Amino acid sequence: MNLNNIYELRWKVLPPLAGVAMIGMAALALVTAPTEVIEGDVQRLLYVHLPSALASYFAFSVTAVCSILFLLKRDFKWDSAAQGAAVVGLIFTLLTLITGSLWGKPIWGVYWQWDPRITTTLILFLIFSAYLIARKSSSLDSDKSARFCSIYAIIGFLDIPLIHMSVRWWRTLHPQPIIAKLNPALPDEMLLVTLFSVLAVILVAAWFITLGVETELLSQRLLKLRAIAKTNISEKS
Amino acid sequence: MERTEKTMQDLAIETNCLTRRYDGLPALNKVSIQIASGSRIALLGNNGSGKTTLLTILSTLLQSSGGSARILGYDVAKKTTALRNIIGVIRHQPMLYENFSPIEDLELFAKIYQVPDSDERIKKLLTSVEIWHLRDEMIGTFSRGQKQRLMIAKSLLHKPKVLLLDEPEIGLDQDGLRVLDQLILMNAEEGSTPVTVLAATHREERVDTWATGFVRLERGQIIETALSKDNL
Amino acid sequence: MNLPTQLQIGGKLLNANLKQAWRDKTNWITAGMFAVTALLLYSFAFNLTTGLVRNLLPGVIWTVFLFSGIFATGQSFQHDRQNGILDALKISPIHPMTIYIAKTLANILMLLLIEFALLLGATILFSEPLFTPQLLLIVTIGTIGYTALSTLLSAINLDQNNGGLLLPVLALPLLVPLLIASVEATSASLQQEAGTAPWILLLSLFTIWSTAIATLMFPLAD
Repeated sequence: MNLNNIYELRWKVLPPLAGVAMIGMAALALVTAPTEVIEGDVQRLLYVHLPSALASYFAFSVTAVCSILFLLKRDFKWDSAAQGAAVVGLIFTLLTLITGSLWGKPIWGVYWQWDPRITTTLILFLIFSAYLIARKSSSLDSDKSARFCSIYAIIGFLDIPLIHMSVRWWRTLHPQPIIAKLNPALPDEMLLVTLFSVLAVILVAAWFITLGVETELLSQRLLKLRAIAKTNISEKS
Repeated sequence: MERTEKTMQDLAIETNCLTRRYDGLPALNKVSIQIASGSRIALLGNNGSGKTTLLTILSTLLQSSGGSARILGYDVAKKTTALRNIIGVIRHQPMLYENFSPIEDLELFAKIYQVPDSDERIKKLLTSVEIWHLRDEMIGTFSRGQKQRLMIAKSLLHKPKVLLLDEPEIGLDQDGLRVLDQLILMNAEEGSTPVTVLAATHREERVDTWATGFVRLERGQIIETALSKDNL
Repeated sequence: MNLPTQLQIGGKLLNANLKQAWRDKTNWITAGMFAVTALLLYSFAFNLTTGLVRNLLPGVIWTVFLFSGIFATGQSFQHDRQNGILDALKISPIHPMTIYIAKTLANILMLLLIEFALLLGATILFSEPLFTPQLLLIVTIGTIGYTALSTLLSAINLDQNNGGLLLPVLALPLLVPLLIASVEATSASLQQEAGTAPWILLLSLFTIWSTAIATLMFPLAD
């Protein structure tokens, strides 16, 4: 897979596609989708909340795959790609948590509930924040740092299902008084809107990922150019 | 880079456009050298010229950013067991267990390298570097010079064929330098195949006494070489 | 190098690590002191002198174990790095996995020593049956699990500016399943409930998973 193809996608294909999809999603979510009987209009946050969650998993999958590719091929492009995708993943994870809170307050009366999915999302946020902090605290071309963080990203990604399972078991032992399902059975119209929203948000996420990846690749190039400039200056002086 | 008639076997150390970057800056910039078996080459250059980087890559402790390096035909990047059995290394920093005695440290590494008749060999080496009387003392109490002598002994423990030394003279007094010359710089191990030595050094005035050639680096590039005795 | 030789050398290296740990006890004693201090702090903070002890004690114990254990494992490679021994081992023909396993086993043994001592002390302090075979088993399995992971993470020194705080930040989120399983297993064991076995099973599975992954990943970190 040639990373240069991503540049093509980024300018020519993804933005218009994502833009149209988002407009469509806004229309569908705000207007067309029926109002939920019990929860009211706040329920429409589902159309952002669920797709954001999926988008974050998508982004972190990209990080994990790129990390594996980096360890196999030792080409720093994959390390840059992994970081770019991780940033996008964190953005969507944060969005998931915020929309979840905003939705939760009117419905449950609380901003937070120790639901397995939300809790796992929070831990996911911590893991990949730690990943970026660890990676950014070293030089961009440090192969030691890149190797270590790739390993960490892979372990972190593989750990997520385990975290989810264990939190779920923990919650069955310690149920909280307020019990509310995040995703009750959806009538067909809502399901369709949800699916469309997922598609739209994933397109946006894909676009953001290409932007993130290119930012990281440019940072690497900047590093090299700065170094060359430094060498030239010191040679002339 | 013209290749001479040296075959792979004659070449103890061979690098091809070896490059290593830190923060974008090349510490080593397309360095290509060929060192024949049995030569003793001085690696010269100011601080920051890339000597340590080169030696560290050859010791398999650092990955290159580009190019390749071989020791006695083995690719350094692959770090095979065979390669690691034939190299002996001295770095800037002594690689010793501060809480052990010389005997304990060397015994452990003799086991790791599967050195035959280890007790005898350890005694012989510690005697040659003249610290046999300190054999049961904690290494942490040693002076820099004593640790360096121990490092000399440790690097020779498994009878390596190629020695990669980064400023082996650090901390050594006149006697210590004599020991260094006797054991490494001026003599191959008696009886066995000739040992190749690549030693970085700042003590240029001594180079004539032991080296059969030299490589001078500046800012990661070779600026001068003389790799056969005729040119010295 | 074949497997029996590697095992033999691994054994020698394990001995060397233990000898080193014993001769340079400061690191481990500090970890032990931190554990005791933290336990006392929790006693005041949660008012553990009342009858609520049984509910809170498992959580208190495991957070104390994790923090002091991760700190201690972080320091263990640091010494080897500083005196160049890690490099000497990497240059030698020993397989990287052997280096890792020998270091991890040494860490586990030292941590178990500290943890068992702490459990004995806590038994006296809180009058709770904390020194039972079942509980010791749970602590052993859990310790293997978290030590395997944190030893792997401490193997590469990325921590120049963070004063050692980066390692817990990296390790603890990954260890949530282990923490949950350990606390639940400890709690069930303490209350002598029937539900202990599934938690022990879960704990064992996570430990096996983290040990396997850490062992496989260590050579890649080289």
